[in-house]
Amino acid sequence: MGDSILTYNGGCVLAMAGKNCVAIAADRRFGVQQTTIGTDTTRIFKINDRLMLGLTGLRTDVITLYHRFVQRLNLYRLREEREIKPASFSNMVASTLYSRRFAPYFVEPVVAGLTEKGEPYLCAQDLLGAPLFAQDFVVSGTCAESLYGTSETFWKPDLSPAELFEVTSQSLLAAVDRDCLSGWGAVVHIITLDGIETKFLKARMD
Amino acid sequence: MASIGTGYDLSATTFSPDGRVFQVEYAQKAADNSGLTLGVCCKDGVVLAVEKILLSKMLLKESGRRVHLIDQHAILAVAGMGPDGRQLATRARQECEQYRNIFRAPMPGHLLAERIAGYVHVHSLYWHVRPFGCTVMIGALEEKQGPALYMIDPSGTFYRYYGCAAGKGKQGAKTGLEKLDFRQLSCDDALLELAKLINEAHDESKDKPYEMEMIWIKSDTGKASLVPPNLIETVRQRAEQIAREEEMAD
Repeated sequence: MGDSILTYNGGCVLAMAGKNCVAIAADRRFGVQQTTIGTDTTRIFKINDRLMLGLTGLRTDVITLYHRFVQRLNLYRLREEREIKPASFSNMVASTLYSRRFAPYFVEPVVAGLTEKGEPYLCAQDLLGAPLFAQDFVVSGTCAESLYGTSETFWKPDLSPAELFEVTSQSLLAAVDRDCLSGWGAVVHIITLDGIETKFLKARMD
Repeated sequence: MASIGTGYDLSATTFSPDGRVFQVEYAQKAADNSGLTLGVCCKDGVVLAVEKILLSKMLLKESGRRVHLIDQHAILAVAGMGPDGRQLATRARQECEQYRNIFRAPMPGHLLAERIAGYVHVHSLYWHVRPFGCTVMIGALEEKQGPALYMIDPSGTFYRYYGCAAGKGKQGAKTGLEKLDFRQLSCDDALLELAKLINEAHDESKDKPYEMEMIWIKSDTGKASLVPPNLIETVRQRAEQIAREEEMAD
């Protein structure tokens, strides 16, 4: 086992866009290859009321990078006296990853947020910071291929927050059930201009 | 004023007994030794103007530029030692570029001014470098705050201004600037006002002929650009004409 360092701990993140809303969801498994040792992990971190960051990959790098971004965000807030825009934050993530081009952080981030006007912003990156911008959905993690499949099937444009929650949850659950390294619980956050709503899903605990 | 800085003025790392750093003050004198430099923050943009004394008839016009484009949304004008100002403009460009690389957004004016002021200040802390002998004005267009103007002197002190002046004749120019209503002033009107102020400050008999350099950022285009030479010539002619009319009226 252990063909890739990115699959060592397992886990996945999915983010989808609706009408003036985005949803970002993740499983809650933390494992060491085949052994599951945690079922309450947080992979999605709040940046501000309109922006969330999901990180899959090696757990230690996820935690390190999360602290690094919090540090940079706090300094940004102090210097600029305003909240960061999703596009700027996403670029900051990308340039942080690329700064370690020859000794990378083994994470694959997903940035999901709303612009000031309320338009959805989605960006997924690989471990070197190559960004992928999408208008519909972005995925990351050990079951990324399955997530692409389920999302492609269920997603349609202009979903309301309630519909988006349903579509995101179903896409995530269907995909993680086919992956032994993901699952063990799920969490979904829906971001609208009014705030962030968090829901925990009842999932197969295997 | 002949300040007796004996002994305390040999290096920037020495304070005098009355709490002054003479090297920085001498640098400020170097900055005051240039042609008049003016900056105005209008309701729809920022305009910077420089009175560039032409030292020789052999000099090609438009060379030895003292106004610089820093980024699409930022401009810089130099009063004082040209090469020092050039160095600061280069630094400002690097800061803006790096900011864009990391955040994919234009660098806010107050941050740029702070960084350049910090850079200027750091050169007053060490023995082996000398302070910058120039005052720079930075004009920036910020998304939320709108047009902003900052002036940084050789000590690294900077403030945000509606209008500021540096170089020879700055006292008279400041009085002239105070008369302007910045809330109503548009960039196009500002061009003429600045031309008039430079024209007044310039003494035909004593000083050599001068060229006017102007640079601006207007809110409608959102892009910084040099004011075209024919427009500068137009406002200059108009300013000189107004001056002649006022003289004849007296």
